[in-house]
Amino acid sequence: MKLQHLAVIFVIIIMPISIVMSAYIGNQINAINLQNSYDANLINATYDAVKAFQLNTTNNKYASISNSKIRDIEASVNVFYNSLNTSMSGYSLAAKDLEDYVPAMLFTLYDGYYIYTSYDNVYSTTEADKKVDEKVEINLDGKNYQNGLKPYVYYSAKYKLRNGNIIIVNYTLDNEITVYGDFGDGYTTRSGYLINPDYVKNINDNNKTLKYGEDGNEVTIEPEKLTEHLVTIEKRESGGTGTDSGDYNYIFYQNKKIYQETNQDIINEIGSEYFWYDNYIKTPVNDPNIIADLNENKQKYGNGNTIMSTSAFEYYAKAYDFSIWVRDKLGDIEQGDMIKNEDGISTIGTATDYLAENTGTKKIFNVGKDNDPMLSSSTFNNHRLAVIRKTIETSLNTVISNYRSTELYDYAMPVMTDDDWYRITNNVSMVTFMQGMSIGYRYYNNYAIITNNVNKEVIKPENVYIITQEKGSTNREYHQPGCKELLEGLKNDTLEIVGAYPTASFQRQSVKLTENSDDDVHFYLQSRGKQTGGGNTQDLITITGCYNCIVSSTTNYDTDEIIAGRSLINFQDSVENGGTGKIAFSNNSDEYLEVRKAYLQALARERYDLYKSNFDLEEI
Amino acid sequence: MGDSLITVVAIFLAAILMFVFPLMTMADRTDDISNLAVQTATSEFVDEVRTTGKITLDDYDAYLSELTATGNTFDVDVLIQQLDENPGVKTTQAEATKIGENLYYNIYTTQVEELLYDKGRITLKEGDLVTVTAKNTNQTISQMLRNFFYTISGNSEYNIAGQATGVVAVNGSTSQK
Repeated sequence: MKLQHLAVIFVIIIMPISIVMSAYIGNQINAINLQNSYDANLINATYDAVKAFQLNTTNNKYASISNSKIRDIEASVNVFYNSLNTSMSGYSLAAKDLEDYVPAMLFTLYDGYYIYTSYDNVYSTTEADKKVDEKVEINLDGKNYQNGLKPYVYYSAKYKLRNGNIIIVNYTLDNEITVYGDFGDGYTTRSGYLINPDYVKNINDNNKTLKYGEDGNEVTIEPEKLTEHLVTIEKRESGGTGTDSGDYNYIFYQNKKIYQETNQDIINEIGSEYFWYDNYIKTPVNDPNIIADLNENKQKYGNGNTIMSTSAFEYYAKAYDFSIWVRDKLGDIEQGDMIKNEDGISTIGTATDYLAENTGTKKIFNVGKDNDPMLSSSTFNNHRLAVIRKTIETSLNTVISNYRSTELYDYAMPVMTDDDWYRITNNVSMVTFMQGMSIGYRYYNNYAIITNNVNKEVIKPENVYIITQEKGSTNREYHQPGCKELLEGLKNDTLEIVGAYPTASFQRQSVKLTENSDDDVHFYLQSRGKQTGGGNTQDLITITGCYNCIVSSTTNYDTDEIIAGRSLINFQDSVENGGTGKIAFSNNSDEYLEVRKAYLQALARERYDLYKSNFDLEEI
Repeated sequence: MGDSLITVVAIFLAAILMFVFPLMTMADRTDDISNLAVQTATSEFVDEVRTTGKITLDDYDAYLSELTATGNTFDVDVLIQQLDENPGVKTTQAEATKIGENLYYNIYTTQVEELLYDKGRITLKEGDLVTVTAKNTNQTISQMLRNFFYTISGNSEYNIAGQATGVVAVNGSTSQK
């Protein structure tokens, strides 16, 4: 055979291999690119949806009420589809088509979660065509199901007590729990915050003061003055122009902020010293009972001048009672006493792999120094996360596997990492699943988790900022509790703490006056002084985020350390990192105690003032 | 004489055809696959940063080792743009009441690495921007073969690259966990 023939045969063999290979790899590359862009779109759409939920809830005074919450969630679902549809328009998918590929959306809230998915279990409600156990044909757009929110599910677990009684514990995203059941003295329902009761000392109900913390490192919790800067528009109501502004002291009274007016002329004008801030207008409080309560508060704690918040005291005092009770009644419970979700009868016993976090034979509700529920490393907290994860996992798995929008694809819940679960179970968050769309040789299957930073649902340890003022000036800044600048400023006596508020208080507020957005007036609740008109803010003392911890958070200490009252160590000096363990700020230094006090007081106050749907029946 | 010359030329051509051509296509495919791996690793890394609000030393190291697992060396550029939420501060152009008139502070690769080795993590907040670009710095076989036939010069002397960017969607947790 001639050399040329060999070459031709070689080309005939090699060419197809090469062509097929490059076509195959080309397809793979396209698939990966498509998958990456779907991933990005999914994250963006979820982010938009969370943002919509934030905007709707933070600007809504009734956002905590369940009807309003459902409406806000449905609105955010719409935003999700709109956003996804806009970014997917390049792939020619219509919004209706997209719905088929989203088997579930999970909204985790404070004490439970909603799942948005399809449901077909619709039964007739009218007597006439009522058939036993027979589903009604919905037939919506040719489909026999519709998408909507499934009923709210609580993060709950059943336990078998040593005496054989079965009790239920409802968990939340923080250390609040609600327990139901017969604990030996009849059926009881109790709800409250679980803390380490050994840390609460010297409770003085008369002055509303107490001490909290380890011996020698206690902080004093006492009544505190809270102030917000408000812009009001009464003038416009009576035909005038412009807006008024001022700083008002407030307290939470029956889940709503009541502000105190100090200008006697305005008190005479509106007819009351106290007002609610509704629709940017001062609504006077005229109920004599409320006024009497507030006057008493003023006399007792505020030298007769200002109303003072005692929420932080109430939080610790009530949590103390509740925690003692829980330790007494539920102190024996360990992981093995939990009843399996699947059958609701048998306990998990020695099945250590039933829950994602194995706490072994540690007593979950035996709170104390070694099991402080305020800390993320406590047994209670590990078990709480495992329970929340289990309930969500079970429902999501069922919902996604049962999803049948197309016969071509079997929907299945993707495996989520421990880190993902940690984020879901620790925050108000939204998780969206998208799967089943064909990308090259396979099907797309991924999810996006976006946690919600600004909400009125839960106060996480990182959701409290501390405000400082530079000594000898009016410059005010807000910091995270573990900020190095804050601690150093206090140590060098250049800064002083003037208050601590939740992150939502640092969001910009807007007053819409006319259709023209140029007329909008913006203000920050933590500014001080007078502000006039739209842009003229000359006399206003604004507040800025610290450049060390808020703008670029690089040199911060762990907030858990501050809650626990441990000394702060720089990362490079830490023992885990091969350092000597040199202490940067000791836990009994003045600056540390000052920050810890402001922080713990604010954390307690904000948690206590949150809207609650579970009340402790013992107190009512 | 003439015949043997043609034979030599034919052998030479056949060698190119039978050896260099398949080698080139295979090398090209290898690069494509590396490119795929790099692009995927980069997008995943950026998505992780976007949804967790933090860059940890562990994540960064894992990303780098995923890149080097392709058998090439890489030049990785990380750019973090931190949003200054304080409107109208430290600049005269921005107006306090307007939306969108914010500044960004840039942190570049060397600073990012220094921070990561010092603190173990960088916490980001909602609104910050992250851009990661990875380009190969070594010569891949495919590049060598191509340079043999035709020379590529200039700034774009890379064959494998991955790039991803995005807005951070959450505030990073202040807890080390």
